[in-house]
Amino acid sequence: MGVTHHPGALLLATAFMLPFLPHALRRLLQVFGSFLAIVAAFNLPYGRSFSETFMGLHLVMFHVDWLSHVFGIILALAAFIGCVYAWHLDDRLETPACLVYAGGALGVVYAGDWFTLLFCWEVMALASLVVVWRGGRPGSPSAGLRYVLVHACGGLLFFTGILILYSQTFDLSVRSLVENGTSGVGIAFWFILLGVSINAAIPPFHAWLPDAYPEASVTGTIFLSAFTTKTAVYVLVRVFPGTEILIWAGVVMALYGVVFAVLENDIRRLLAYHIVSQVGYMVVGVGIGTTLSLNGTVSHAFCHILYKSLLLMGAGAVLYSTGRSKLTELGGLGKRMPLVLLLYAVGACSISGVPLFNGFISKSMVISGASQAGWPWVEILLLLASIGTFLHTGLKLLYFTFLGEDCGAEAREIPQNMIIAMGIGATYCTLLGIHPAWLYSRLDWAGGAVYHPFSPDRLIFSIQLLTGTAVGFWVLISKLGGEATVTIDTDWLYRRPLRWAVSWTVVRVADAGLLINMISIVLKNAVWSHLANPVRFLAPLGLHPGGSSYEVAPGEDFDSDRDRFPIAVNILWMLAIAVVALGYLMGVAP
Amino acid sequence: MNPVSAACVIASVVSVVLEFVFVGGHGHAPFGIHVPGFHLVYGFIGCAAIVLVSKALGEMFLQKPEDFYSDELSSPGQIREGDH
Repeated sequence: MGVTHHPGALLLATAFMLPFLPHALRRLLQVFGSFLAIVAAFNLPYGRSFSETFMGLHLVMFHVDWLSHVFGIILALAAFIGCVYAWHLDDRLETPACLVYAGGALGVVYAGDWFTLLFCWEVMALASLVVVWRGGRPGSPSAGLRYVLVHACGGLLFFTGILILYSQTFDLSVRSLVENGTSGVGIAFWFILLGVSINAAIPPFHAWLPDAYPEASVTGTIFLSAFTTKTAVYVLVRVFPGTEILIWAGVVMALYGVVFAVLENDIRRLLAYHIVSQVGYMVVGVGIGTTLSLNGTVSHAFCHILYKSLLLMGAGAVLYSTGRSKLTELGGLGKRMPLVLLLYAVGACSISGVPLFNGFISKSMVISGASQAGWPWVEILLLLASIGTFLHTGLKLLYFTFLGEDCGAEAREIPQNMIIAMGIGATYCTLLGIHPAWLYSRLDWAGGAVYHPFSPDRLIFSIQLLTGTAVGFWVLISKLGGEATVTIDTDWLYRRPLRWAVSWTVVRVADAGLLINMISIVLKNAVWSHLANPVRFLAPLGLHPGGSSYEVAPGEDFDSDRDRFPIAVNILWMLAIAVVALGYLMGVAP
Repeated sequence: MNPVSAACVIASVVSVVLEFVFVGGHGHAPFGIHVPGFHLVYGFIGCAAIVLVSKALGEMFLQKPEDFYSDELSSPGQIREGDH
């Protein structure tokens, strides 16, 4: 058992071979390599680990328990679906970068020590930056730059936290910081929490997500949606279960994403805001920290990766086919791409929590977890976020893109592999929704907790909630169409005031430089006439080489022909100095 | 009556009937107060609240013209006239 069985290492090996192959082989290898990673993730037995001592640190690069097992399977599956979806793409950089990114994510979930985890965390940040930069959209370069700067801040906070933690405990193993009370680790706890919160896209640190994800390519966004936020959720589950502040952070997230999704016109950005909203449920589950809640969080991360990639694949197919991604420019596409409509609808039913699709079996678990732990307000607000999710991803996006008034856009044919990838995602969404035991059996039911999603009240209440939302949609449909606007979010702070502050500072510094330059010129002119020819001061003393009556005008430059001492004088000085120095060295002079 | 509106009405009625048949007064409810049809009404009111509140926020200060950020550099290192 070595590093070769690590699913992430398989993906990295695949990624480094890809750029050197022709397209036909490349696409075969990308699908084969990511498939092998799924097989490897399934076959990793609990308790296996691989450790190495590096520079005196005991690094557990690889440790498998139920949590990393479940996350490993879904991350490898997400990479596989993404690779199938990108089968047609002829890009030597994007897909390898996506696989490095996925490999980094798998490295995070299998990491047994903080340094391995942080290393993989940064690999993810850099590889995903390449994915954003390969987006090829007008906004990609600057969005990528903002993306990496935010993640650099997050990574540094995380690193600081780890260093403080190590200096206090001399223990590098990744384990819960909550168990022993937060007092023991104090400030390290908050640094690590803040660093992870940035990757988990908890407001106000979330703006990088809806800023950068829609600027990636059609294929790149599928990878982006799966890994960064979900590995952050993994770290939260592993390290911060039961941290109460996360309950309210999660509720705010769930509703924040919904509010911004109402206002958003770009379909992929709308879906990106729903990532924020859905990750909110997971963060609530971590905050509550009971067995049921944590299992709900893990299930929701599992299901979310499947249906969110399916939804983004649908939106990506629309963008690929028509070149349009704004609700105001779309409509009536269902007739021209009925399969995309059908598969998108499966994803929409899943995210909305329609019974028999996978969102229902995981979202209801988080909400039940909140209710059983005695947080009725959290339950009510999460139900509100569910309403918003169905309203936007289920009804608004579906209606204004595929149904409604025909936009008259030319739709080019979609590659078969895109449909196949969506089919795989839709199959998993449905199978899990019908047979949740497959997922539940992989969770940790410590303390004898049980959960049965298909109780009559849960089923009927879900149907009522969805029906009520649908009625509301139908009544308010005139208000729900896209508007040709952009929405300002917390990224405004660094795109406007901070940018102005930086430009202002740069201009002021440049002005100060000019001022200093001018002052120095004035000073030089004032002093130069006196310093231009130091020998001039010898003339009044009668010592000037030109003779006792010689006069040099002020400001006149040194002229070596006129002002230089005769060579014999110079030799005399040098001899005198040499004699004194020698005498001093030999101890005869004073 | 519009077929979609009819479908909405039928689905609402059916879901409430189902609730009485299969759940009765024993279903789980937030705060332990079980009101028949609560989720149906909450779905409708929640939907309206989300749309109206968000739109109000958007009109007040969140929504900007599409070219709001268009004065940004479109690629790193690119400098345009009058950028300061």
